[in-house]
Amino acid sequence: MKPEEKWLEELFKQLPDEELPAAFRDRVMQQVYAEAKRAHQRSERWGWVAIIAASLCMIGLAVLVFLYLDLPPVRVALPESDSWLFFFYIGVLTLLLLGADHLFRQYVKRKHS
Amino acid sequence: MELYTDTYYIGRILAGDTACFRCLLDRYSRPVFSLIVKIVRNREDAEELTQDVFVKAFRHLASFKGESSFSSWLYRIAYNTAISATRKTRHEFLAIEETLLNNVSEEEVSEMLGRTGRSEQLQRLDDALAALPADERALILLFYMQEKTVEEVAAISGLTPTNVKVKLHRIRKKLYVLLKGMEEE
Repeated sequence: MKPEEKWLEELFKQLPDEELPAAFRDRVMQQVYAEAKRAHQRSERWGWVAIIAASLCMIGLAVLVFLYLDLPPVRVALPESDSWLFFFYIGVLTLLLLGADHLFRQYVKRKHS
Repeated sequence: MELYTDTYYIGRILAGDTACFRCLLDRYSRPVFSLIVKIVRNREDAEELTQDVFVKAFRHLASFKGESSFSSWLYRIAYNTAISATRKTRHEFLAIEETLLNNVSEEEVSEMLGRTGRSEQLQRLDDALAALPADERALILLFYMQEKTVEEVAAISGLTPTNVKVKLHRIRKKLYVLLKGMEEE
């Protein structure tokens, strides 16, 4: 910088900084939090759209495979009717265990928060 | 004392710690506001524009790749926001003849100003800045007040470094003419 420009530089440096109102920071942060929430909701929505699109693609692909590859029909053999009670018992037991696990997890989460 | 770098805070914010944006706000809100006030010349508008600048910065933070410093990136948003705002309102600026620009002597102006008190000098500089178009005001303020280098001013304004140098030279000359005119009145 030329010496004759130095005085101008000095003068600019002495221009006072402007003060912001005290509430400015909180106001901006409120907007920033709202923006973060919106971005989160947007990404969540896109996540659902991706899951639905992927599921539809897989179902479509499966239908195409069945239609064009001429696969033999799927046969499902049902169990004998006298063993249904046993299957029902296993199903109820699984549901009860899942419920208990869920309640226990909630209890641990509450205790640690 | 600055504990953490801008990059550290940016990493935390992108990882989901939104509260860290407060640190960047504390670091840059005042200089950005000072620049915008001097570009738009209205405190209320400048406050709103500064708010816009920081919300825009937060929204596009993921696009900051660290090719320039965060401060230059933020000032670029501030510069564009303030210049766009001034384009919406009509301003009239003083046209200065080329001969006047070529004949003004920097030593003469500095000597003339040296005869007045510091507060009056600052007032005259402020008045002279007000007579400049907003984009020229922004360039000279970035260079002298915000102490950015020519390369940084170029990155902020989107001009080439050579263009910035030429423009700064002309803006300085304009300021000298305006300051000289005030002294002679």
